[in-house]
Amino acid sequence: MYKRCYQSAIVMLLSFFISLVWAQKLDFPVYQYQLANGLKALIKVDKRSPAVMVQVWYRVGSSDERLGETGISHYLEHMMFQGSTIFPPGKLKEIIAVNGGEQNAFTSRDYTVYFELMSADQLSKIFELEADRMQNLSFSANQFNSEKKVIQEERRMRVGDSPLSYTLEKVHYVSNMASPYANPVIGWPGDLKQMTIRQIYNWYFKWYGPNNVTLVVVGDVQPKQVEKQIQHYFGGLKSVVTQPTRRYPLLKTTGPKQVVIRRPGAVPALVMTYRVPSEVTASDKKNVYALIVAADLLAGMHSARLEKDLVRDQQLATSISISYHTVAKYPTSWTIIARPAKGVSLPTLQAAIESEINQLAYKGPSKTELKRVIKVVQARHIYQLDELFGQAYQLGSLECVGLSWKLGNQYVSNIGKVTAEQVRAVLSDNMGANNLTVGEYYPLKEKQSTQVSHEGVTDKMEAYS
Amino acid sequence: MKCFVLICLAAFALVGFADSSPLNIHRFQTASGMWVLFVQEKGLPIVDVDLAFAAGSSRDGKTPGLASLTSACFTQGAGDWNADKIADLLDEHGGVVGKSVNRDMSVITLRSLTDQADLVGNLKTYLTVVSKLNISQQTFNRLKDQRLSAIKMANFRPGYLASRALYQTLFAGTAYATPVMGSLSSVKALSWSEVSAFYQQYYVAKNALLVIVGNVDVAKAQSIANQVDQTLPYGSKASAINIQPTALTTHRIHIPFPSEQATILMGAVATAKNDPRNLALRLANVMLGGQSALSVLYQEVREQNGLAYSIHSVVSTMARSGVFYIGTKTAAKRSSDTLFLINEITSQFAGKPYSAENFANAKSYLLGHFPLSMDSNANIAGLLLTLGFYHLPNNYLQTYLHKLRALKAKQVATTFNSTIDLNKLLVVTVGGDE
Repeated sequence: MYKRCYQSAIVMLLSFFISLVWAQKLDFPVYQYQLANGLKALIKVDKRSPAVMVQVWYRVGSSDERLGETGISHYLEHMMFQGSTIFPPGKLKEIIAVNGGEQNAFTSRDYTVYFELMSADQLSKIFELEADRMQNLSFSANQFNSEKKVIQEERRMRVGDSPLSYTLEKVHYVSNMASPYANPVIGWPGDLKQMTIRQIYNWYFKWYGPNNVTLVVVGDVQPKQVEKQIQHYFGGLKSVVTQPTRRYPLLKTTGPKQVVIRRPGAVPALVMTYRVPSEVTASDKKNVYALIVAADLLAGMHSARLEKDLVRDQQLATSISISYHTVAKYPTSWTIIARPAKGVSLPTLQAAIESEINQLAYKGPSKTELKRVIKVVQARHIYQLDELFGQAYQLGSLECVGLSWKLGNQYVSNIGKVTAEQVRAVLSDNMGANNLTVGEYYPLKEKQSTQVSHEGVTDKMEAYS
Repeated sequence: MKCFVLICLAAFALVGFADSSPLNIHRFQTASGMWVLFVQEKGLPIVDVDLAFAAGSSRDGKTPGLASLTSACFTQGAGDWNADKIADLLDEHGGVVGKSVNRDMSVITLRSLTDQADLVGNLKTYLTVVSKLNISQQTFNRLKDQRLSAIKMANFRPGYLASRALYQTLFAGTAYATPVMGSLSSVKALSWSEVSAFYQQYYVAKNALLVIVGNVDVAKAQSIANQVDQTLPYGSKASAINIQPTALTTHRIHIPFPSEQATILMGAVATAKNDPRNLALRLANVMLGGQSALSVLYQEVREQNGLAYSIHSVVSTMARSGVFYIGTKTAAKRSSDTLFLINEITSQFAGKPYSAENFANAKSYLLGHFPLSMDSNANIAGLLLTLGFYHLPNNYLQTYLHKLRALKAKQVATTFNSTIDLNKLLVVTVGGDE
């Protein structure tokens, strides 16, 4: 017995509503389909090119890991390309490649995602491969050991040799104290080194089942046909035991925390991160939209305050950005990253940023400013629809953290409802010293090498200094 | 019977040759002679308006970094408007201006909603920004400082150091040698008058290509093109640049660096953008390091030996020349092992014929991938920029698949090996063993 839901009428209505608000037409209908084994599918039609994007969203990520197994979801993601009982190692990638497709995967805090982009007539091939590795993963000890080295190289590349990433990793660990988001997705080096093949297989059997999956298909497809194919390839798969949902409310802190990192590098960096509600944990979702608007008012548009005041006018920073990932199962981070201008100390820069935040919290945005930022956020949302990947990502990520994919369609109107008062309130409530973790990165002074060892080239090349 | 067979063959040949163009490209010129490439894409209420000028770093002359710094000035002042005013105007209508510079071209892009008020507003801002560049000395100094900070950071990225050394050596003495951003010393010395002169010379209609992709019709596209034409001075087209790389005097460069990984970059001079050999080179490159599942470098260096997370090879073509390179990062203490393995692989690749299966798979990948490269407005715009700026033939897209199908393994191998000597690559290492 399975339930079939037709959402097209509702989506059409929503599209119509949005088009009333906007005077634009965004008509991409979404169809929802669920199997008896729990697999949920979202199918969105976009006929602008003869391609299809498939994303398989597993509801497991680093936030499900404990110390001793950090990085395991990411490690498993790597092993998922290493063969099954039906397809030998490398075969999966080869089949996709030979058909001209692109594929990859990524692991995040709350989910692990496998995706393919292929011509729309290859959809069944993708389903065959994804259904196969959902149940039949099989790899050797050699492959496991070899992939460990690869992941260690990846860690060196992403973290070890990137001073800013290295700093962010430690800042987030401290900021996210007693939270599942403390550990890095790639895992700590010790856990990586000691990971066993048995741990990987256990993780796979625990989490990789159709009831933990949202399957997203976006492209030049016929929903009825896709539903038939999904039933055919995934219908026979067995569910795994559903894991209980864990709760980790925001830990109230009463003072700031600080992390200082010194590593070889060129330019200092300042990180200021605040723990804030996510779209899942917020008692009132209005606060989330207000925080998005606040972030963009400060650093997310051409006329953003920090860009104008601190980069252009006072020349305290050469760049400032703010990131806030709202689609998260647990309380999340609202993070400022800034590079100081020459001769400016990090504490000076921090004080200037705090002053700007306080100013905005106290007075709120002007009417014009609010109108502008809402326009920018709404436009950005539409621009992101240009990419099949972006469209699928929005659907899958919402479902994976326990929200409805329909929230994506309401985004534009929710942003439009944010008021100046709400912006003031969220800034006052969240952006205080008690909720702040500061990261300061200082480049280690290396000896100044000005000659590069080679022969034949006469120009003296600038080395790092 | 013979006649019938001939007719059938002829029909087949015609059908086989005439792949329909995957894109409906409108090409036209404005009064100034500026070429415009336009593709209408419905479905989303957005439009991309991109201007590409022959104003890349190959025009820096004795002042490396000039082209790049000029680009950095856009949106920071125009006519009577300062950066704040321009920022307000763009945000008011949700417009996004982007900029990029490489060795050949400088591109300034506008992404706008197609709602009437927004489009009119954003176009006005965009055209003013492009045609009336004007910034204060204070703003110029700030932009310079920001650029110097960016160069300082780049100088501490092993990948950047490797790439910089590669281009500097392969193209020594030519306009492709210097890094696009310039150096700390060369940028420090740049003046606003030099930037202004560069701007006035190169940012003109006769030196521009206009690309429009999005939800506007032909009439609207023509109207936008006319607006551009009426706003930019006509000027004159930039002269052709001559790039004649000379033979290498060194094949080995090592840059010591305190990193956990060693960066390895091995390269050689390759072909220009419109070289007829390119399709064969691209096909061969798929098997070497261009597509992970199908490439020997990925399979042996990463999959079998776990020596790297990323390894790939690229044929990168430019207006007057090009670069082939193999790039990877590996644990510092294993850099000589990895280098040794790569040399073995490339030596075999150059010396042995391609297996029928590998060749067929690589061809199949390129054939299948072709339509996918046009799956977004942004990708289509990028494709049009390439077609237009590098004067690729009008039937390039239509004949691509046919030309690809016609390639044979032996001929591809000969073309690749005679163009790129894999046994004589310039090897650059940053970090790791010497």
